[in-house]
Amino acid sequence: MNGIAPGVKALYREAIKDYAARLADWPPPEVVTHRAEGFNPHCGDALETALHCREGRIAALGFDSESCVVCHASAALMAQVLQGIAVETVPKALESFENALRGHIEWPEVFDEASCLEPVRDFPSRIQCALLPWHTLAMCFHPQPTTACTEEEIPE
Amino acid sequence: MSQSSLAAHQTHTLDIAKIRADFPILQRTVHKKPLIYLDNAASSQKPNQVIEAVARYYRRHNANVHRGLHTLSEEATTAYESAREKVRAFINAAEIAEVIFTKGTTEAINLVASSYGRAHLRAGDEVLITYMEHHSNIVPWQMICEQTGAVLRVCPINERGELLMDEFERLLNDKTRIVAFNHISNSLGTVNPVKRMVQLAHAAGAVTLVDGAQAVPHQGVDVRDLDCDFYAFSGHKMFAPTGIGVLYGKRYLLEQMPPYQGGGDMIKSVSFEKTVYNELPSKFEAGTPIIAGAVGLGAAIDYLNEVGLEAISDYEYGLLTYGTEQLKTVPGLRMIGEAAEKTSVFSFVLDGAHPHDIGTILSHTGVAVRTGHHCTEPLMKFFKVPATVRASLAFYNTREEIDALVVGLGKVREMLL
Repeated sequence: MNGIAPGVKALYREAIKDYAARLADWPPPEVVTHRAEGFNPHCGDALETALHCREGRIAALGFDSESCVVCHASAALMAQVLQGIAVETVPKALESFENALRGHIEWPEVFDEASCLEPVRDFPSRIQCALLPWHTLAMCFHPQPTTACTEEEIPE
Repeated sequence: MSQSSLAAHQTHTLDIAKIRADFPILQRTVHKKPLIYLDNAASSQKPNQVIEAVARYYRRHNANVHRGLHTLSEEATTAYESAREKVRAFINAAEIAEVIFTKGTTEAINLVASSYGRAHLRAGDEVLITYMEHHSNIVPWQMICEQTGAVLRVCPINERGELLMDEFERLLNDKTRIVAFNHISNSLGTVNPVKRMVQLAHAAGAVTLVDGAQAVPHQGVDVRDLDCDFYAFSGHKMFAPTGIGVLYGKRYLLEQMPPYQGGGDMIKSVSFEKTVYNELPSKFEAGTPIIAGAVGLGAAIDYLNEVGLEAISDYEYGLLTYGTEQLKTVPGLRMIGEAAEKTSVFSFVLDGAHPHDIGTILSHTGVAVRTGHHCTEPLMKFFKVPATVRASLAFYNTREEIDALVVGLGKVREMLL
């Protein structure tokens, strides 16, 4: 791949492409207790996150998505990290992910593999792509869900 | 390409090397590669002639216009009003009173929707737009329809991205008050049959607004020949600065319309009891106008006239034909928008690669394209794509740059597929 800058090679390295391909392993669960749509107005990416929450935990989660490699990889990583966690810990996880992605903190241990998204930092317009699944997850727990938008703060 | 298009495009030559030397930004590198700027439908680059005109205005003539008696104010007024005359001649308007300076196309459309729309639309009236409109020619009409109880109708298109003219005729009726459509689609490059559409709309008793933002950089526009009632365009897409645009309107319509905004310059006299509004065009230019922007627009018009819009149109047609052939050699590439009458836009998707990823990788090969929905979400839904890659041309682009785009797409395939 002559003529391609190292930064862009890092963005599309195998680890990220592998995770993006693995999104197919995360279809929406059969039983859905929470659902939200997300939209990135910057590029038109759209993603729907569906959850099956049981006994205070995310028992299963999955996606319908028409998005870029970065968004797909981020969604697959999110699913891997968050499946089985207590619902009450979700806001903290989202906050940690976004802070780590933006380089404000070191990657917490739980997000060890998510650190492969680090090259996204060098592409400010692509950070929203990585955040879209996470913003959409937050919207799943919003009392009045609307479409999550990556140009807005993560909903409380 | 249709036979009529081919016949219309005779050979004119442009000195591309000389033209490119006029645009300093084209000399820069991006990611250590020569910049290949193919995002002209979003915003065009500026020649030295425009940059210098704006700088000269600020260096020598800057003052407020119209009300000052001192030399600088008189010079600024002359520069501003000279630009208006250049615009008038550029679009062949009958008189300068019909040329209103705005911030851009969006403000021009909002002006008509708010002022003409609010004054003329009643519950049950209809506004007709098309499926291929930019959001700026959808949302202002939605807003005014919501306020007045009028109904928004949308003319459909076919798979090639052409308007269904029989549907257009069918949708026109005695309730249609306003018909608003683009001259050239920003997402597809489709050139609409404006003159015919205006005739049909007039026959139904409606007034017409043409969004000309994508037309003015590419071909000559004659508003009297088109017979449109309003024509809107932006400076920054035609090599002038951002922040300046134009609304052309027929005098008798502009005279009927209430002011869009109130303030200085748009009044003859003000008392607490009554304000007398100014004559056209000042009635629609409240506050200190975008003087330097207008000066820059005048310089851009001078530049376009010097190069020649016919020559530009012919040259770009050659680039479009060449680019269409070259892009079709890229495996998995599907062109979105293949109208018989088309100009200066390649909108496409690539199997297995999302437009956003394509845009990022191309940027690192030096190629600037736009990816996304291009402010035409309904159009993306029609073509069942979330987004496209859009490479859009100006007359400073070359065949070699199109080759570089094709090579860049090869790299995209290498990296992603």
